[in-house]
Amino acid sequence: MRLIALGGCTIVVAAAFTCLAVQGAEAKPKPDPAPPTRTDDFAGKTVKDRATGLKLIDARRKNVPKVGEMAPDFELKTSDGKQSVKLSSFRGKQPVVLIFGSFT
Amino acid sequence: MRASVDVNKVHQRFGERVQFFQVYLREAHPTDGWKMKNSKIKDPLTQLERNLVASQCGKQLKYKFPTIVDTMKDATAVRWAAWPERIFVIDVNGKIAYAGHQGPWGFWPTNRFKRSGRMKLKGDSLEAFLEKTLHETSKDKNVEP
Repeated sequence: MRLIALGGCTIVVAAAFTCLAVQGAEAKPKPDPAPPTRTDDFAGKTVKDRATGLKLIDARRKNVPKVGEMAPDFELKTSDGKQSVKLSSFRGKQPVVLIFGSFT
Repeated sequence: MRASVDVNKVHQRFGERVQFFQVYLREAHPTDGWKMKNSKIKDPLTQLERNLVASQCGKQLKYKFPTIVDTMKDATAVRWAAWPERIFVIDVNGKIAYAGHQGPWGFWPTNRFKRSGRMKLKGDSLEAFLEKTLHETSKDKNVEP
């Protein structure tokens, strides 16, 4: 009888803990993770291998500025660090050719 | 390197009427990353390192126009989808007039230059585009192209 009573108590206690755990989970829902910003995944990092390079190109392909759109403005320094060039400063003055690339 | 000869040729023809810039980006094939047989440069880790490599690049390729350098966060490369290489032309109104194909296979400075015959490129090379655009402008103003 004592064993039966003990077993019953154990079941009740276990059930109580389970209820509390469920309530706790319901009280604190996990926030949805922010959707990844694909174009930022590779920014600031060395391109490690061919697969990464191809993923990078593919991810950014959707961003490419199109003919007829306003050119995204930037302000960058010259390689000697002495001058700053702002793309929009050429508006109304002169067309600009941008050759993007690197040594390798 | 072969492409730089053609870029210089276009600059020689149109550099007085159009401002050229080399926009230096993250290394495509550094020795500590996506290495190629002729890779010789480690990926710069600081802005100063990247500036130094960019300066050397401009000198070695004999570019006669300024080199400006993207930030270490690659903000410009991201916004322009320009990595690893690409050519754009912006008109006097600040709008994109020419958006070249994605490099390296689509990098197309002159009609003569194509990285690979396998890739059939649509549209114009940079040189052909500038010829058409500036020649028309010259015609309107009775100026010899």
